Amino acid sequence: MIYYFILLKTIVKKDFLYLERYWLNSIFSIILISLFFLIFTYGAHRLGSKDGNINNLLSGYITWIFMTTIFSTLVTNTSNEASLGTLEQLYINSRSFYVTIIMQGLSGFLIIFIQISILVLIITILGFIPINIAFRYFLSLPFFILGVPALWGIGLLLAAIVLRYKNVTSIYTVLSSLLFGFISYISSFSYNWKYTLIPFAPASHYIQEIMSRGVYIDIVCLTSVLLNSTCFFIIGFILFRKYEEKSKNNANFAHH
Amino acid sequence: MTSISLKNLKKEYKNGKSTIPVLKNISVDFPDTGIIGLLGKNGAGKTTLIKSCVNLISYSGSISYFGKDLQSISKQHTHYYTALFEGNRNIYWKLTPLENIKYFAGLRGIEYSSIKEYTFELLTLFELENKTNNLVESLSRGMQQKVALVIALSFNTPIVYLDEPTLGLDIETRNSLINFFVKNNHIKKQLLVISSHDLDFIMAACDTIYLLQNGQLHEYNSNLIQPRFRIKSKTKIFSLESLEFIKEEDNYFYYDFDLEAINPLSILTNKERDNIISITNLKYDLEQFYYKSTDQNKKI
Repeated sequence: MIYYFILLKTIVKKDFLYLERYWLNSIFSIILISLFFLIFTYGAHRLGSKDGNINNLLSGYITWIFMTTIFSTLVTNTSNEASLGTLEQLYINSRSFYVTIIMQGLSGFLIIFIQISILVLIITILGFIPINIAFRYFLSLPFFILGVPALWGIGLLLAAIVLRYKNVTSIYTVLSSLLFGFISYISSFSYNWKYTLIPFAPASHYIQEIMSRGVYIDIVCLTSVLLNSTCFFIIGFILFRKYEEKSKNNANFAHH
Repeated sequence: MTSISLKNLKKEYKNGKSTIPVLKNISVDFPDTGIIGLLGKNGAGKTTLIKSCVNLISYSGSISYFGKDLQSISKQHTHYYTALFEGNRNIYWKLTPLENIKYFAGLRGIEYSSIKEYTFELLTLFELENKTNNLVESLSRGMQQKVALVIALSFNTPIVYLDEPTLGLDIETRNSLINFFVKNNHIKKQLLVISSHDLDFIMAACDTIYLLQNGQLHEYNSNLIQPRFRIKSKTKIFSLESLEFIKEEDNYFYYDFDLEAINPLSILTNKERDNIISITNLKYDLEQFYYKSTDQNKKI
């Protein structure tokens, strides 16, 4: 247990070192996600949307940003480490490579949580959303956590493809922009069991329900969130193992 | 005691429909301490051998550490070894040397405080003590290599693999590295497996030297090498084909021979013998062993 604590502390510390070292970029990324939201809400106001629609817009936007970042953490980390030459060192120096990249995912989760919290704080202070909506965001946090393994699963899946095929920029763009945009859109409608078949869709639905309604308990949907997370994580893990073996066979583990 | 045991280690790479064997049934036991040198031409399989030993490449046969199969200790492998590949590409350039050391220690679940003293000894040895807070990207190629070396050595694991550790190092640092390997008390308790093309470094630092050639490991033992001599003659020598003609220079003809194989003085004609100016003992060193074993005609 101490090992996992030291490992998480080390990875979080490194990520925060990067944030601090490149502070201008870190600040700008928060400004950018805030700016995008403000532009969306301004546009929505101009089109005569009501507060309820603004809430939907916020929850959809937050879910999309969250999905994209968590997913990209695993993919870009694996891809960057492979091209830098440090991927092999991660294998040699950590007890379990999988645990290490999951810890990297956790660290990414922490960073995006802080960034989105700052965004929510800014737009609440600026009066774009009422305080109770900001409160609902924090209320939805446990469901973000429950849904994260599904995102890690498809993150691992693409990381596996990175190990095998190296350049996956176009797949990455399609997944991060279109698929996640689609998921956050469709999951804003009433619950459908088919959501279970789409990564993170049940969690996205649950989060958006909480953001628009407040406290919301639906056992069927909650089961669907857990099932979805477990299945996609296992699928991603199995495929990653498979491509990892292929990479080891061809000795192109750290080639990029 | 045996630290690493390789049994029938085989590795083949697929190239389209054909397979290229790189390691062919290698079986060898390495002791638990000492410095092993690994020589071989480019593409001979040195890196493949080391990467197989640290489970970065799949292989057939078996590799065991202190009697335990590598696959069964995969979760505890960090207790057994560290490895350095491609030197400066093994570290994070956007971090400082100290941050790199702390990061890799953390990955291993080690608190930096427990290795601080030895790390500083290493940093001082490599003259990096004043560079600990500079970003790695701002350091020279050689210094980056030294940082990677410090990290590989910091954790005091029983086995350390170093692939081309002298790459990019200046002569002074290379010599201090040899000195460190030979004299440091920590190193004396470890097994270092070093692959390099730097023959002088290998000769000076290693206790045992292996040449990887055609997928097989050949041990170099200077005692087993036959004494070698060179004849300087005023004329060409025709009576003995076993003499190896080396060169013609300033109207003199140079021939080499191994004394145990032939004794030319007993076979040459009187005239040929009279034309001999000198017979000198050649140092049949590692370089000769290397070129002989790799079938390259190195003329000296």
